[in-house]
Amino acid sequence: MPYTEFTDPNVCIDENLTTDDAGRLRLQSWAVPRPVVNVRVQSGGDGRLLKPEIATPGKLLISKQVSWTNDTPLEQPVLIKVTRASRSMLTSNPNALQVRDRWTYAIDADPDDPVTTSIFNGQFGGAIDLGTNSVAEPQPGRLWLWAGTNTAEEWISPMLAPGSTLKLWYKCYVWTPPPWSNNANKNSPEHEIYVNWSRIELIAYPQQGTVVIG
Amino acid sequence: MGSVKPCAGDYMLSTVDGLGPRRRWFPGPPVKEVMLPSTKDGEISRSPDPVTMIEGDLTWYNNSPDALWCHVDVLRAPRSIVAQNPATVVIQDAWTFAKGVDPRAEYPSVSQDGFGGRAQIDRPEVSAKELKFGRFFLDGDSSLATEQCGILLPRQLLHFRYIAAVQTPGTFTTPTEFEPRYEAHARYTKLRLYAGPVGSL
Repeated sequence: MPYTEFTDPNVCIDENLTTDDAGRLRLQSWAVPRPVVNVRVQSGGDGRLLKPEIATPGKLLISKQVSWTNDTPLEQPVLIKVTRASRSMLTSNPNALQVRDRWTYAIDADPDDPVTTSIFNGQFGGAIDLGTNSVAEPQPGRLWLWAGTNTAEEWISPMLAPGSTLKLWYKCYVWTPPPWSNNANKNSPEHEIYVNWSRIELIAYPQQGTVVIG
Repeated sequence: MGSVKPCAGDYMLSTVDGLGPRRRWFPGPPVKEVMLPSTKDGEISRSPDPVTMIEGDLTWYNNSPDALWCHVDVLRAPRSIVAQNPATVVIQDAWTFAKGVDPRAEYPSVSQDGFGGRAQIDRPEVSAKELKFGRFFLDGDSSLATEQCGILLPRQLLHFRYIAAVQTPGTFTTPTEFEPRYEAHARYTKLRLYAGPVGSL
């Protein structure tokens, strides 16, 4: 069994190394990148939009908070990875749909509510405006869009100190940028949104120790 | 360097204080990041040839005694376009890189990747005053593309170049009976260079 606790009497080697019972040199678990959080969060609001959402942030689809406490003797750089599943939507002339997502984080504190009204990390959406007929009805017309899975990354700043806790809050909303027509698609409005899920990962990266520098 | 270095191979340090991995042994945050904002977001006009929105480069010198694996992550902001029937609006981007003592990456040709679209509700030959009213709005999410740059030898430089441009290729008829709208928003692109260990050779 290697000693995974870092203890001071381990002279002559730094925090990233340890020895086992037989005195053999070993790497500590934190001497390599480690996935410390990995959660997939299902959307709670996929499907038909029952009413317009013309005020931001709109209808909440996903909200998730995760955290990790640095259990190593060294500061750790942490990488946030957010993977957004494939998304699809259907909208009717001339109404627009837009999905926005955002995350916030804080160290040893609660992160701000990641509402997407003015600041956001991601977006997906669209519209077609085909005008109206002679009696001011929107022309018939529907738009379908699909988007593939993608991943966004952010390195936290500053690095996470030993014993400190990183907290992250992720939210995803759909809204309908105004104006809104109640008789879209020539009085046959159809509006659907599917964001499926988002995956939130935290990966802790190793750092050089404090004993041996160079 | 007069002392004996027991047990210390590549990526290891042995000093009077003890033994430990060298700083460059650790993969981790980018060794360099550049933020390239768009200089042409908003309304655009007919552009049969690409018009530059974002242009920039990143250089980095491997000032370590170790060879390093390098890759650049190209992080593109969420993008948006507005196109009027029957025109196309597309944002294209491309990148190149070179390594060596005095490297110079080639000018990136603008055809590597694209975002945009077109909604056409008339025949292409319809005249300007007969055009039906039609607008297409498209919002795309941010994206991340990784370019592996291979091994960067000690005391050598990496040069990475990036360009994004907007274009309105193909059929383009400007309506005369109403106001058309053409827009492109590329927002920004970030280049992040990562350098990690190759392993003992």
